[in-house]
Amino acid sequence: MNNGRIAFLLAAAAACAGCSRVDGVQLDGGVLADGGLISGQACKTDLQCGSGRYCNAGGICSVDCTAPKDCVYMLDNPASANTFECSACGRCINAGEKDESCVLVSDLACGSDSDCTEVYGDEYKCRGKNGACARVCEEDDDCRKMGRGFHCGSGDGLCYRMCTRDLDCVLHGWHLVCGLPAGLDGDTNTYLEDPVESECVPREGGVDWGANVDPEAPAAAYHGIWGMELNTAVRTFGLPLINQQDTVSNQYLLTKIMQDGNGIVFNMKWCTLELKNFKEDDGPFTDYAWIVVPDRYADHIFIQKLHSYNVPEMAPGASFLTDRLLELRGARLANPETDKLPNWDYLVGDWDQARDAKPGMTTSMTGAIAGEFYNAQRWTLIMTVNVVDKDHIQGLIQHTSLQNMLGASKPEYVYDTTSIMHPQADRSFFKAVRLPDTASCADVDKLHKKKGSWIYFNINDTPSRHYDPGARP
Amino acid sequence: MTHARNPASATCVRHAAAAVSLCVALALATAASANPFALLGYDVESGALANSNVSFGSSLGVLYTNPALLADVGNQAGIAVTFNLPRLDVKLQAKPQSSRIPTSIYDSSIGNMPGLQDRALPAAELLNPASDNEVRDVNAYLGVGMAYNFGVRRFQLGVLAQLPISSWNSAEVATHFNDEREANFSNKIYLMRFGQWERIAAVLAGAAYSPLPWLDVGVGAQVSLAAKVRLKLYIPDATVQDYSQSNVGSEIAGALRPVAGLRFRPLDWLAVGAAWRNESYVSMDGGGGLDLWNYHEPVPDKLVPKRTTQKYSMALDYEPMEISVGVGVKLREVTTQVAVMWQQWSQYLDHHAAHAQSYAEFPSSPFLPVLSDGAYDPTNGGAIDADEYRFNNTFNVQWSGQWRFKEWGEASLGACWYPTPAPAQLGRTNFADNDLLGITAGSRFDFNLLKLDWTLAVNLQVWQMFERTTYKDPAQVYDEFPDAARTLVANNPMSEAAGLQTNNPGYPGYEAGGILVATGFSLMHRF
Repeated sequence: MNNGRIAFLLAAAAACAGCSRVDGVQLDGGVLADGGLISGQACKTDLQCGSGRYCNAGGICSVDCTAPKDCVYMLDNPASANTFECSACGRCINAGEKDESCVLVSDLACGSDSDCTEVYGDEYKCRGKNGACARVCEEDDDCRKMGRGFHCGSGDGLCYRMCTRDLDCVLHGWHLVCGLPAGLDGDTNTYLEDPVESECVPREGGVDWGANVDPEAPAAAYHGIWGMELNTAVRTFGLPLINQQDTVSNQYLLTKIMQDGNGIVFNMKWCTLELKNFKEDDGPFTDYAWIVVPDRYADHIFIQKLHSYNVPEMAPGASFLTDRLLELRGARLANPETDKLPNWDYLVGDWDQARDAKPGMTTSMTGAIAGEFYNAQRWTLIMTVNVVDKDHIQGLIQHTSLQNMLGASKPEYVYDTTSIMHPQADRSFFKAVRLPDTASCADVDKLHKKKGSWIYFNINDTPSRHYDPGARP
Repeated sequence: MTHARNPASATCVRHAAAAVSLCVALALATAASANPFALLGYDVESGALANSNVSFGSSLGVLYTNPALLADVGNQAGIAVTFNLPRLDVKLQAKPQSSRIPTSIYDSSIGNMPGLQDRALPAAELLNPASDNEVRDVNAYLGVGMAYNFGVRRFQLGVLAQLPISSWNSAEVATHFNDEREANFSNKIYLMRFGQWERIAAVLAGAAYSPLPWLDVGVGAQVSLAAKVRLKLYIPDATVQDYSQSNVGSEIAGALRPVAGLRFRPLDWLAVGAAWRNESYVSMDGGGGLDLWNYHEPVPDKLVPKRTTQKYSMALDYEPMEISVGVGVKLREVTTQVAVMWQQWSQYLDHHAAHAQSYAEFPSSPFLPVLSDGAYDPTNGGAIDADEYRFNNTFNVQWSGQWRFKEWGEASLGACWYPTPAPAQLGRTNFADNDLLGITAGSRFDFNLLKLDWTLAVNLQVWQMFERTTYKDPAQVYDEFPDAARTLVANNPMSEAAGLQTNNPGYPGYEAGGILVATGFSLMHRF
């Protein structure tokens, strides 16, 4: 009897088990770790995965995060403070730890391919005789993992620093020039339909410090490569929905200060630009839409020069003014100072400076409103330079800006706006820190993101938003 | 002075009272439609018979199973209380971190890519983290019903209402998506057909007539509603989104789900019944207009305000068209019957009034492969066949046996099998469902109290939804952070976008299943 009951129960259980169902095929761990990619990129080292990814235990390039927020899932208590950071290789790491094994931090000299494969793996080979290790590539995208400005060489299938003019090489440092054929003007070449492409090579003799050098003059102390933060705050009127918006443009530059007799010349290479909206009272602010300035925009800003013709000795407290810089962007005018700047209803003088087949210079808006804007701009700059010490300078600036919209990706985004320098003058200032002669824009980029650095800026960090004449490194 | 009681007047009063009661019950149909009762029975006795009462039946639940059987239901009125206690789960499998959407999606070209309609939030900013769905809430309903023939021979009228009493709210409805969009809301997967019903009232009414001694016909209706809401909104400051000026217009209209049935009795001990029920759902159409301050159409030299309109349609508590055919045998104290019910699930509408298969394909995106006509390929290069996600029509079987062990008492047993209409959910969609087995039992007792005739009925049901495990096919799950996305700033490829990133709570898979116990009792006065 009992046996019968047990048999009945077992039969019932077996029947029920038979009714359960499995749909689909369970993916193995390695594939899952790669986001379910059927054929993920196989790897042995993080470096093979490139910037932003690491080689997981399953031998597939993977990524856990791009920002600390993505690591919240690792907290025992999601409501507690986030103690994690996201590494350059896409791992969630404890604050203070380093994880840069997926990127090359500097060129590695090599004599043969084996010098590179031993260190970096099969993804790298030696480029040129007695050259530097370079990543193997099939297309430009493969080289983006090495950093900005790298392209794939069609001949050797290795990444290199491509250029059509010297300006492209300054991105990698003032000690490099574009190895164009003799007699070919780089700026003319760049705007040809099919420009000659060449490679950035070290300039013979190093950085060009100019001819008018007098080591005894006070101006000699200023010369060098500087990482610069230039903040221009404006108030814009006539915007749709919100009517008025306060914005600061954080511009990061790799600046070469050259001596010119008793004066100096700021040779300014724009590396990146970031636009941040803010409230005048620095109160909490919800950013519904903001402008993103693409690298392409910065890459096509010409080297701009500011002069100071008689500078004091470089001692703390010393102060002087520069001359006035006038620059046009996205327009070419016979008289840059006075000719009418092109507008969406008047396109005379419009120039596709960014070479993206769109009018003027292109920026993107993202957030609640998303799209592209095409602008022309005329702006001016005068800097007051205050010496903090031999490696740090800063000062307030005066600037004006006339910016016209030439078009947008959606017609309803085309508005006539006007801008003025923000009435709070301490929001427009510059700071600069001396860097090694071979510093690049990548170094400036790292510095401005590093809390505590001289050129650190964070829109959510009130002190960094205002000029502080008493600031010390 | 005493008044002689007038029999004609008493009958008139009884008729009037019955008419008022029927009207009150119908008036309770403030909201109605599908609910647990299509499976668990509209009354206690139908529940005890596993809803197999298509050829024989004597309770008001036949209004749903076969209204022709009302002819066998004597004049009666009463109440019932029923409960169901689910223990059902949808458990999510662990999501690989690299399939989560990182915050850098904000820095990508997705933000201003023309033609891309849906943009995913980063996983870290979702309203709720993805979580299991544990269905544990006890549901209770109060049933009221009445059958009365108004003195007309071979005619019977009935009405039955079931009112949710689990909470004070007259209706509790929460819609959801069945794909990655639900991540923006509850971030759970819901049971499609069983165990998670909206708590809204249900009303059935019908009438039966017996034109011949061996033939009964009946018609009835489930009452449902159609609602339209129009919201007009003006936001004076687009940056202050918690302040607006609004007006609402609404319309509510009744809708009927027709039910028809017949019963043929070729022999005294044999009956064959059939019933048809049309599809049913509560339709809700909404829409509105939005005006913003200082926002204009791109018209030169003129001010033309830009007005935004939004529309949405909802379909709640969908029940498919059903055809039931049953045969029953009544031999002295024993009655047994079996019914087969066909359900047209292929026309299923989810909460957003769309067919299940319509979500299988990917939404329009410039990141998808391009077809020869220039349109984006929603099948992701042929990986998806939407027809495979169309719900299947089902044949369900219900059986019961009744034994009248005394003149005053009867016991019953029942069983039913409902195969799932939901095909394998390997892609975007997460319609969680599986085959259902129900085992039912019940008793009814007739007695006399206070010189009135009464019937007390009780039932107990145990339902099993068999466990179903789903493993997703990554090629059929919508990649919300496409591999081809590039950074806005540098136009660089984004390594974190490689592979599949999705907020879909069902990725990489989930398990669904569990049991439900239901019970109830009713007290009917026969007159």
